[in-house]
Amino acid sequence: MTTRSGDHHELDRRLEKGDEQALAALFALHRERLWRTVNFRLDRRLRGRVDPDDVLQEGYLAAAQRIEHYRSLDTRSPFLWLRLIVSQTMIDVHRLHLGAQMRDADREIAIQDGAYSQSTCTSLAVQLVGKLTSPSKAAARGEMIERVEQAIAEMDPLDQEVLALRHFEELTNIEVAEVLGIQQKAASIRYIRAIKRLKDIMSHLPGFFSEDRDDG
Amino acid sequence: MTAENETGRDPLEELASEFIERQRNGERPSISEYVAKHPELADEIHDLFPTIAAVERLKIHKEHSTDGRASLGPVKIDRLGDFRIIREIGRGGMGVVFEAEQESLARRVAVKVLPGHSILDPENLRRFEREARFAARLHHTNIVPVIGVGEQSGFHYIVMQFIRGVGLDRIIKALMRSDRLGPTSSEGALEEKPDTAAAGKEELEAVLSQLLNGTGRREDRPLSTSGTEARYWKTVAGIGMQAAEALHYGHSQGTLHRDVKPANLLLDTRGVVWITDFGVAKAIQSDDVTRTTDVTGTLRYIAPERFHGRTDARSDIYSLGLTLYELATLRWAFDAADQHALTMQIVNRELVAPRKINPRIPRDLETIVQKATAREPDHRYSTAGELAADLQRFVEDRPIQARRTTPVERLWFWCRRNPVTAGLTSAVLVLLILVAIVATTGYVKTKNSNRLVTQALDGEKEQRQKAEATSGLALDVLDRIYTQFAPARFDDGMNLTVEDSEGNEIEIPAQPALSRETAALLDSLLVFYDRLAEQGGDDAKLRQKRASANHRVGTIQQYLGQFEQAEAAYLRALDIFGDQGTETAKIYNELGRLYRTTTRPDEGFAAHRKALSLLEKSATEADRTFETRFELARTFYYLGSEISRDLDMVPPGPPPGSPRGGPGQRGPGPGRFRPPPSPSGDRSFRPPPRRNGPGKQAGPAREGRPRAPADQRPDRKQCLDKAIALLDDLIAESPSDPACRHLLGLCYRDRSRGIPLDQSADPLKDAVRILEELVDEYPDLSDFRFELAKTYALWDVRRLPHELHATAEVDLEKALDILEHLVIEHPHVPSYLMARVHALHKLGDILRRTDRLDLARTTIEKALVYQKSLSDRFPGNSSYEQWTVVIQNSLARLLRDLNRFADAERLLEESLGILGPLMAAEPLPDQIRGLLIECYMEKRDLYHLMGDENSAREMFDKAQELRRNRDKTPKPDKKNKNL
Repeated sequence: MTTRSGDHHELDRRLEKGDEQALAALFALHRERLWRTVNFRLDRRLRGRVDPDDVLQEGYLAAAQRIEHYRSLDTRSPFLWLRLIVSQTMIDVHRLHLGAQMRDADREIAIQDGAYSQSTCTSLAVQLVGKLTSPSKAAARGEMIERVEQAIAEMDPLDQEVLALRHFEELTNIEVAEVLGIQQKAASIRYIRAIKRLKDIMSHLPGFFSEDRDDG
Repeated sequence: MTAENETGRDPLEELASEFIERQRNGERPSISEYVAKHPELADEIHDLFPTIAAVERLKIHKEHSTDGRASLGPVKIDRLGDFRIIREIGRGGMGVVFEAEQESLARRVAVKVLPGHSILDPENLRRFEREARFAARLHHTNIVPVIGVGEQSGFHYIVMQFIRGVGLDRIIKALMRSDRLGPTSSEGALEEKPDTAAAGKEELEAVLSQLLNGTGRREDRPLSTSGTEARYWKTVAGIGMQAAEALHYGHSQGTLHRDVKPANLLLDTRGVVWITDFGVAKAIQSDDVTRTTDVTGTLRYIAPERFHGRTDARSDIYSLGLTLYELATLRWAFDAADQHALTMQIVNRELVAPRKINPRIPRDLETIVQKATAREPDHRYSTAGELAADLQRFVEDRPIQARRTTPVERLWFWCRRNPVTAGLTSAVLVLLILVAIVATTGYVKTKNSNRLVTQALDGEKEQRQKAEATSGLALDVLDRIYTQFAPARFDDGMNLTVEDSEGNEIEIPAQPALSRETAALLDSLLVFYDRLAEQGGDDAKLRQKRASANHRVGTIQQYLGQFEQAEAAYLRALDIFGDQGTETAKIYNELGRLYRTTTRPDEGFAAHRKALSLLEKSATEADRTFETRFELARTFYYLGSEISRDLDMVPPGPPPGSPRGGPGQRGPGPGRFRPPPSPSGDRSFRPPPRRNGPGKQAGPAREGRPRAPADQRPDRKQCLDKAIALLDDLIAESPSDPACRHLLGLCYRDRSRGIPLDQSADPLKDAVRILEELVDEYPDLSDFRFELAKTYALWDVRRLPHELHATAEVDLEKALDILEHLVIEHPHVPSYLMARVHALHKLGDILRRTDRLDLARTTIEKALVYQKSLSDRFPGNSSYEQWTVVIQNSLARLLRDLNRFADAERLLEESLGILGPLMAAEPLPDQIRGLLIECYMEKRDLYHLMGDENSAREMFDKAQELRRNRDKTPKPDKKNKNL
């Protein structure tokens, strides 16, 4: 168990009792990871219009309103509960800003459906598309990074989702298991399998690993 | 961990988790450490950990830059030491700027926070601090004062005076959007980020109204005094003047700004300009400009010499000049979307003259801006102070000091810059200048007949002889220059073997990269022939040279897609030559090709037939020279070839520059109309039934297109066979002649078209073999490579049987490989750009048909991006716009298949938006109607899938109405002549 998901049983117990201070403390504790969720899943069309911080703020308010709800849930992870609420907030934000285009957005944002969501592949793919239409591709050191991105975009959606949860949202194995509704063992195997596939795709891109070996 | 082991986790995954966790905590765990501790997993660790580390790096990269802008990542900053953060006011490539309160002094400040990640190594940080301290010593009315620098919890920041102002970047975008001038760029329509923008909105409004209406101005500032456009130019100059003064001051203090751009120039509500980030950019950005991450911001304004590692005060002057250029024209000077293309533009492309964009811009302002943005630093103002002084003169309606460059100067600059002329000896360069002078003197003489010069020239016989000798020399020099720039386009028969037909060795020069600028200069050089003629009489040699120079200029212009200029040059050449022999026939063939690529096939065939009759009557069959016979073969080739837009990639619409719906729509009568291929072969878009001709039996083969009525057309097959027979003889005489072999390759290729697939394979194979050999032997000749690429890309994907998809894909990849290189080497040749678009489009179609939808999508998106940039470069070319629609619709279809309905819908809306202005033509051209119907039908399908039956019905009705109207519209007169 890592410190990130935290042994904050005391706060957890207080949250169950509906203690708003505990909620604030937990939110602050998990803020960085929640920001990552939002930053990663936010629709590209909203970039520049909606800041992840705004979504978090809204999310916090929503959590405070629904603090009673926490007790009734199966989850015993305050983080996953907050992530769920923040994700729902994000759907609202998308709906608000994208209006008529929501049919798409709905589908793309559904994060917490137990199974992997389509949002990951679109998020990753969108970033790929972004390369064509926005100048961000010209990033320094960009070529290597681009290659990883490209490789990820070629993977199947489930693998992409596992990588996204583990790396881009920084979820632990336990949390991934809960989000995907599978056993820890299965989550663990899926992650390694995804990394292997990524590595296979990347090994077809020449010159990729030289930099990493130096690091290691 | 033991507890989790019971859950059956993969031990490798547990190690990976720990490895990742340590990285996230800022450690740099080594892979070998893990290998040593867990030898049983050594292979897997070696195998996978580098990948894991790479994904983490990708994450960090993503979090710290969204769309090229800095981000501070997941951390939220509320306070930095004494500074309480109030709100974010802006973001650039370099950092995030906040409004903050310095609590101890209770004052507002602006704090620029740099991203906390690894771009700042210790060396950079030291530089950053040093420069910031240095910047703090700059005190000028127009420089944002730096108060200090600091560091807290890994964030480095600069504290500056808080300016209630708006960056010129936002002002330019707002003006682009405003109704007054209309949006000129899609980027101008970008939405602003609401929270920061809303906060800054009032300021923007205030500054804009100040700028346009002169309200709220300060009396002692030379900013605008009224809202009229005429005053706007003075306002622009006033802004430039203040900025130039600030730069001058900074330079005098020994600091270069190095990142002058609109975003770094703030304009406050009193009309005062504030330069920000003075000298700081250098500290944290590598001097290697090619590594800058902030493409939209920084790279666009970088002076060309910085790509060669040179920089001085004049680089700042350039960047300021470019800012003024955009402020005056309200157009982005360089608009490429990616780094590579942008760099190419900056280094290669000459800025469009401001008055070409808006003729109301005062000439003097244009001159100042042009001088400031001259590509060579030596041609710019040498100090920012001089720029400021000239801007002030303009504001005060006094004569400016900058001179407009004369054609002779431009010629000189061009010679020095151009790699090909750089290869000429300096003696030749001197001669070239001599030509210019001789010609110019001649010009002066005729213009001002009472001048002393004239008397001197007329009076002294000796001098006249000298002048004549010089003209002779000048002629030779001109001739050499034209040969360098317009060597043989082999398929155009600009034949290099003129003097060497009897087996002498053939010299093949590499084709220089041409630009419109080169074409314009060569075009203006033509005048020198006329001047020489005025001086030296009209001898035969001069006339010959003049005509062939015009001929070559025509070829270059055609090559660059400037059809009107090309036609004019050819006609001049014909005028000079009169009807004589092979030379004239060549020009008629060029002209014919030009007409046919601009949808004037009747005139085109007439020109080729004229060439044929000239050649046939020029000598008896036995007496014909090698050259004449080659030209004859070429004429037959043209008579038998299919010049279609798909093959030759030349737009059939109006020549660039001619008005929409104008002469370009002249000929699309039913017989000549060639619709842009609709790659899906879908039901909604039906080209008119094909006429007779071999294309009819083509079946699922290669291209076979509708064509002109048969009575106007010679028999293709016969013509090609005649050409092949002639070429076979010629090659027997001179086996290595590349021009003959090239033409033979083209003949075989065209011979393969429009006949069934099983029969077309052989001639096509021959064509590929011949062209491949030529490319192999003459790797520098872009024409050969281009024709080979076109041949590879010949596949008609729409009618391709499944089993050939893989072969076609390989061929298209080969074509793209060649075309990518050609486009980089010759960025100005539209046919290369078009060919790339079409190859990508076809490849995308194959990928779609073989169910690789995501790849298909990126491919077609690429095609679309390129197509759009082509449309941007030739605005008003309806053919390019139609192609944009075709590709957009392909993409929409694909997005629909990918269930991205909203995106598909947006694209179709855009297509309809593009078609809107084209619909005005009366009667509505068939291809526009076809595209409209296609758009509506696509939308119908889309709405159907989305469950919106009402809208679907509506779309269907619209399509039906268009179809009905088509049947009602009277057909335009086929014989309608278009001269």
